[in-house]
Amino acid sequence: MSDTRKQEITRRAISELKRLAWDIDTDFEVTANLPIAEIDEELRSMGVAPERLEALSFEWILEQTSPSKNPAYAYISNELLADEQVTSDAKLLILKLRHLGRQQRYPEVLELTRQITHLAPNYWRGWINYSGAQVLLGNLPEGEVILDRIFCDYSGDHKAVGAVFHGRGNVKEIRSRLNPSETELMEITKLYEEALKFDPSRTNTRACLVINYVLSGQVEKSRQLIEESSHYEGFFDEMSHELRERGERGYAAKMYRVLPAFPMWFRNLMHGSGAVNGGGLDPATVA
Amino acid sequence: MLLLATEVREILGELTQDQFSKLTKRVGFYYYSRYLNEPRLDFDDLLQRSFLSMLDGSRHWDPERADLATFLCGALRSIASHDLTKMKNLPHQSLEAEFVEPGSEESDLIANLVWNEILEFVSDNWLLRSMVEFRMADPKMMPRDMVPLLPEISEEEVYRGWRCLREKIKQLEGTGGLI
Repeated sequence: MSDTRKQEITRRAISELKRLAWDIDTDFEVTANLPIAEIDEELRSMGVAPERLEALSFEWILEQTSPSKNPAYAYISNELLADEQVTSDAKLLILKLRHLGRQQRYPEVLELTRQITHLAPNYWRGWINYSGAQVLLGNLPEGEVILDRIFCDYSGDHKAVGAVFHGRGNVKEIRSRLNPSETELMEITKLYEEALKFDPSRTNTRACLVINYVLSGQVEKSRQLIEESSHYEGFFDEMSHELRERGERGYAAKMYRVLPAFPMWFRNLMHGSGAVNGGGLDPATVA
Repeated sequence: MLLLATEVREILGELTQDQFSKLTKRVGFYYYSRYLNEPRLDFDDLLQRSFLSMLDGSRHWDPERADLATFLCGALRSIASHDLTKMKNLPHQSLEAEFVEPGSEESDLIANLVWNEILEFVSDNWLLRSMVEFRMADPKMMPRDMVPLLPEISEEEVYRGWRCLREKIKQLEGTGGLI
């Protein structure tokens, strides 16, 4: 008998055994009566975090019938401004709007971005923030037009171009309400990839790309990117930020599919015990 | 007695978060054990629709016939099956499909080989072996109809048999958790 036929026979046998297991479960209400500790163990063995299911509530069920949370949320850059060729007044405005952004005071952020673009009209970062503020407040077309202008006016500045590609990926995700089609997913991943080509230091882009790689089925790429990105300061925090923000935006964001695809050490770091590969850290060295 | 949608809403609203979490985990286990690798389905979506089907009156729960977890699992399975059928694919291809085909020597030979393989897998557990033999004779026979034909067995023995079957499948597939 050929190996192919043997494999097919085994596959069909397994399939039939599964059907028997499902029918026993249905007829004897096994799932309804297993000890909950055993349920937790089985979920973990399938790569599903029981804690994620614990977070669902009856209120969440009822909320799904009402307007869902705005898919847009702020990513606040921590890039240092010291070496940027712009006045200290403009830098101060950037620092202020970052502070406001962390507090989700987006209308005030928009006002400050308008001030920056008047004060320093040649400063790409002012325009990028202006675009971002428009997007956060729901004005996606305006945000996109600004991104296109930045791309034209600052095509020689790698950081600016990287920010544009990230912005375009972000807008596409928001337009799809974090539930993109397969085609959109591929477009989104390409945009984030381009962003990193121009500016590999963008840790939030890395986090977004990891997530979109998984959602588009490119799990191996996501794992490679995780390994590479782990050496960038801020990447873990950005990853937590993205998982949290997207997870709060409901089932459409599909974060339940993302975590199981991560390497176990990374999954624990993001969601579990915090145990890391290679041992713990001396608290004195955490700086 | 079938409950009204308003009565169901009241019951669900009175569940503590701990009770709701346990319920969700049971339904989650039911879902992931069947559809873990089915990318076209979404647990949160199916869970929500299962609950909502109780709340909008399209499905009626009779607590005397099934507990809440069992009812929700059934609702979820029904909605998932409907979704997958709409997508023009069946969730599970069983030997039954082969058995309804016009008989040919080749298909009979393969079916026999498959059943022999199955019997070998479960040969060390008399309950599972008995159930498989029933299935060989009638692929549509359900476990609830098999048990009365077997020497008196307890529900705990059925659960033990189910756990044994699950472990065997995990080993055969070489995965951590698919049933």
